[in-house]
Amino acid sequence: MNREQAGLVEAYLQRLARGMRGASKDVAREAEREIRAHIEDALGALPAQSPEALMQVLERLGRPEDYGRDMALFMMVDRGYRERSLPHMLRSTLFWALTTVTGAVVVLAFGLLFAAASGLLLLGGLGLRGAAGGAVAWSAGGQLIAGLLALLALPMSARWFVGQYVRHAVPGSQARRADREDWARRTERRILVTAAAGFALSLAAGLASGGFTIQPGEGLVDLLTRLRPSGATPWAWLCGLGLLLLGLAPLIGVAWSALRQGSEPEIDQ
Amino acid sequence: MGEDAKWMTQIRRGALELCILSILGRGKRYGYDIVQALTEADGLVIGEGTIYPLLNRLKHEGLVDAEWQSSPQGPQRKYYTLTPKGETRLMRMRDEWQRFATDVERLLGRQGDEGGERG
Repeated sequence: MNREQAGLVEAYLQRLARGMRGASKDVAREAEREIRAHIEDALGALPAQSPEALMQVLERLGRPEDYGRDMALFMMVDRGYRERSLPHMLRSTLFWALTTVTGAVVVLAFGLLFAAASGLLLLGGLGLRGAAGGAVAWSAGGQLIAGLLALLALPMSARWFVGQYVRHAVPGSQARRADREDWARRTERRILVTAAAGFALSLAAGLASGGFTIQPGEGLVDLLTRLRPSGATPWAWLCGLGLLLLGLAPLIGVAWSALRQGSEPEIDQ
Repeated sequence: MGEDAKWMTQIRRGALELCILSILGRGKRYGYDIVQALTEADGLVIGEGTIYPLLNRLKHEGLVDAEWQSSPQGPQRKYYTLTPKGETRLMRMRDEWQRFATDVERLLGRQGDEGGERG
């Protein structure tokens, strides 16, 4: 291989390394070594080793960014899944969102749905109501409806997200698909259970405390400061705890499944 | 990408894993060697690089083992072999595939016959 060809190979391998950014160094090194061996083998099989022949070999290999990304994404998802590591799951989600159109759309849509659900959550869980001069007065019925809508919207958006994640971010090995879909179903159930428990707690505590009142001119931050230890009643604490459970239901559900991984039967083994 | 091309991609994707396991069922192979065997089936592999993520997955699922070995000619190569778990999976997948292919063939044949009778 002459200098020009070596330069072409190095440029190709650099693109592969860029595609695998986010994967561990060992995995990236191993992939680079294997692709280098593939190029040498393919070139060795050709009668002439011209730059054109090398370009043909690289073309047949395909875009390194694409298969490199597939490999890196799988390694991150697999690590999160096998090592029960929530940080790796979150990292793989971020990588998925940043490197694929589907990932970007799914994560963005989930963020919007989650934000909308959280808005309902604040109304339903805290039982916000206007004081004299305030704009809105929330009745217990209004609180209940908003809370129920939040309860429906939050796990549904999380359920949709987990389904998309399992279907798209975990690259499509048929062999363990049934196992992963089973994992997704269990995770969805856990998200729903956590969200329901959080909602029940926040609703009960919110109703028992008579709801939180926004004073005229008071913002959300002012309201949340009342949940601080200095000014909060036990009901407020319980309500805050319920809200926390509800808001973090997707993360808790995934972490719960990750912790239970291995102690549950796998259906495709 | 047209609908036909999408459909073919899905079929190829599903078959590729079975084909790789089947090739490894005949003995240890390295990446380029596997690609060469796959190219016997026209159009099965579009980008040769795409088999590496798949091999990587099969390894992590415990279906294949991989080991770097020196070769008398050419570079050091990563050789893949089927594990006992991979052999079991291959047998199951082969059975499923044959059953599926037979059913589809039967269905297509029947529709062809019906078309012939109508015509």
